[in-house]
Amino acid sequence: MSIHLPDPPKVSIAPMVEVTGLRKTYGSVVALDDVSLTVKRGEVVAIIGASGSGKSTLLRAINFLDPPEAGTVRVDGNLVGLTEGATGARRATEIEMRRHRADIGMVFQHFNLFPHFTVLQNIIEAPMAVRRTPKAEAVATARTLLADVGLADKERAFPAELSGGQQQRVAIARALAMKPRVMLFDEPTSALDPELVGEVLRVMRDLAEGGMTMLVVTHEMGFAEEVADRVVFFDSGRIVEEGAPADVLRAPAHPRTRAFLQRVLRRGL
Amino acid sequence: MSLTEIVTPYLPGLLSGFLMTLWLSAAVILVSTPLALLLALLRDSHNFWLRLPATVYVTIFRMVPALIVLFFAFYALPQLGLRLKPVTAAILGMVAVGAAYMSEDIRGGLQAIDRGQWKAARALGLSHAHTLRRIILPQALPLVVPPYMTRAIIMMKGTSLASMVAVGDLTAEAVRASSITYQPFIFIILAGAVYLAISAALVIFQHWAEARLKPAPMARRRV
Repeated sequence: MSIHLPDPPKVSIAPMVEVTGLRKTYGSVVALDDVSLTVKRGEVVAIIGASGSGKSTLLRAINFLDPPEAGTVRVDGNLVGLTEGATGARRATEIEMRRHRADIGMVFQHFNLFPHFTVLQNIIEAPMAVRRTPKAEAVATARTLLADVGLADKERAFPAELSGGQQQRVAIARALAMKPRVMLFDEPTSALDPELVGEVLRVMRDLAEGGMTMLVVTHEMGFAEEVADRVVFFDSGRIVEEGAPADVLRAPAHPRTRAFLQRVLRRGL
Repeated sequence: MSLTEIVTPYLPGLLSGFLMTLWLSAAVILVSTPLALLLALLRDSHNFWLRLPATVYVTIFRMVPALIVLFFAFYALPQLGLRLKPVTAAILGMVAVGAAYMSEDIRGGLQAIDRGQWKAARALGLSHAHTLRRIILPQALPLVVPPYMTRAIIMMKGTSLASMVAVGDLTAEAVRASSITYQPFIFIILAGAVYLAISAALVIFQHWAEARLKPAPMARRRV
């Protein structure tokens, strides 16, 4: 099984995601401290680190759900949250911002499905409203995606009738229905019972094999090691260490990475 | 004199008072509702300059007695050159106060919706207006019905204040008949019974609305 990516990625030399000098503070807490990160087309980057280290803030800054105070984000070469004019970059209008966000899929820890909509309505709402996709086409795409995530028989179900793992797979399908250029996963399995984690990770693995560019904030070290092309370790709002999963997870260079991994492994995660 | 003989001459007056009470209640509730929704949305706005006037308005009008506002509309506004008909002044005053209270009932329902719903909608690129209309309000509506209908009943009963600014509503007609006949017992009981009946109709409507608008079951987060 693999995930259908409706539009083959356009050939471009620009990295898919290019984050430069991001800064974000909450009061006196520095959540992002001059963070720069480049993600190649089709690359899967796992972001690990203790809670409160800024990993989730980074995802929310990339799609400007939580706009950074300084720094730039580019997705496929285009600025996010800003518009380039003759006199330099200015803050994007709300309408431009919506267009930027539509290109960036996001999956949340708590799924955040719309509980008053059926599974199918959850998936077709945004393509119809934002992309102006005709209903028949949106429904056809949604059914393909539901089949891809193994939930073809659930399109009439309401979120409350599904297990957590099923809900998260619907949430992934909902994000994919917008045909995003990149997918952000914010601890997608942290709210799941252990026996349901596998089905969600399997869908994410399919997606990675299908060539999707992915940034995954996760505590699943096994997934990071198997699926990610690169692991980034966050600490106190900074990227402390990054590299191939085998290197970062098996032979961390930085003492903080070592301390974090020891804590995580002792917990048996 | 039998009760019938006491009451009959005043039935036309009481009937017109009843109709006036119905008309006042409907006008006050129906005009207050969109205003209250607007106030609730403004108070939750991210824009300080939208939030500020709404907050000031709601705070002030919740702190002033409705009767003072009615007196202001009826007695004080003419001093400023604005002479309103009694009914208009009464509706204006009661909407001014009622919308402030009702906006808080609606805001409570809006705030009960998980912030994650907003985040998910924004991440998908949905506009603020679309998110409100399709995602937030449909989920808030069932939560708002009980406090909203309680507020509607309070507003309906509150229309009796209009009798203080020369509006011939049910209370005014009952008081008038009492003072002519010196038989307040029967007329006040009668007026009270009619208010009770109107309230009962609103309560029945509330039950019907609650049954129609079952809240969306909270999606389970762990299974």
